Amino acid sequence: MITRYATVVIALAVIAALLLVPLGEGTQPLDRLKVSVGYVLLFLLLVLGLQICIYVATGKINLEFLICDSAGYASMGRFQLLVFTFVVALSFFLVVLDKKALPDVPASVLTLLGISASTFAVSKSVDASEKADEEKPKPKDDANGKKEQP
Amino acid sequence: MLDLLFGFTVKTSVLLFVAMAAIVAGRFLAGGCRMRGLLRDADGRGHSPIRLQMLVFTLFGAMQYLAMVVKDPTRLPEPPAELLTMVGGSHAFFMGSKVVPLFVSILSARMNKK
Repeated sequence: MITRYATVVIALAVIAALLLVPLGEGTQPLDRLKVSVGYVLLFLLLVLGLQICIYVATGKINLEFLICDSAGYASMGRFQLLVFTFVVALSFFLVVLDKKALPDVPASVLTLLGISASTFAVSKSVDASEKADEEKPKPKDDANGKKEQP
Repeated sequence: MLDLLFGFTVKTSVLLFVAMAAIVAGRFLAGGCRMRGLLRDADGRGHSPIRLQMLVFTLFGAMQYLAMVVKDPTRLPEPPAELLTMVGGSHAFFMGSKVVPLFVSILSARMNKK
């Protein structure tokens, strides 16, 4: 709760500061608003991201089962999705740092990510189907060959 | 001013990404993420060669793509068709090993019902 209030107060402070700080001669009000909103969003995302990093580092967000399936064993589909996500994200950042602009993402890169995501989805559906099969109550036959009602 | 904002955004994103990647990698290396059973067979008795080949192709494909980006960081490179075929084929094997036994068990259950 305190964190939520602190974030709102800091965001309001940033807006006020940006509206008061001169942005240069001839700056249009709409441009000033755009820049102010941009900085506030950036600040909020930074706070949110740092909070998640701190929670992960301190163990409040538990990563023990990050790549595990429902049975508690490590899943190859999840592991692969994690690897490809980090690789594509790292590549994206490297290109942005070099080019100073957002690059186009080729369709084949999306295909690569799609392949690993589809494995993850299929693994999950197979696991769910197996789990449902195990949990399904098996009706017993009585002496007359009729199914026993649960 | 927008250029300055873009620069800040890029730096912030890189900072967060590096922090998150370092924390996740640290957790993996310290044993904080469970890796047991990654190469386990479907019946849990031994190692599965299908999973092993998928692990090898995944790591190989990821490293090959990263090497392409490091070599020319001006744009996101198109992965070669061979890489896509290799990863796709490896996936097809893996999915087949998961889906076929499921279909077989469903079919045999239906046959037993009849």
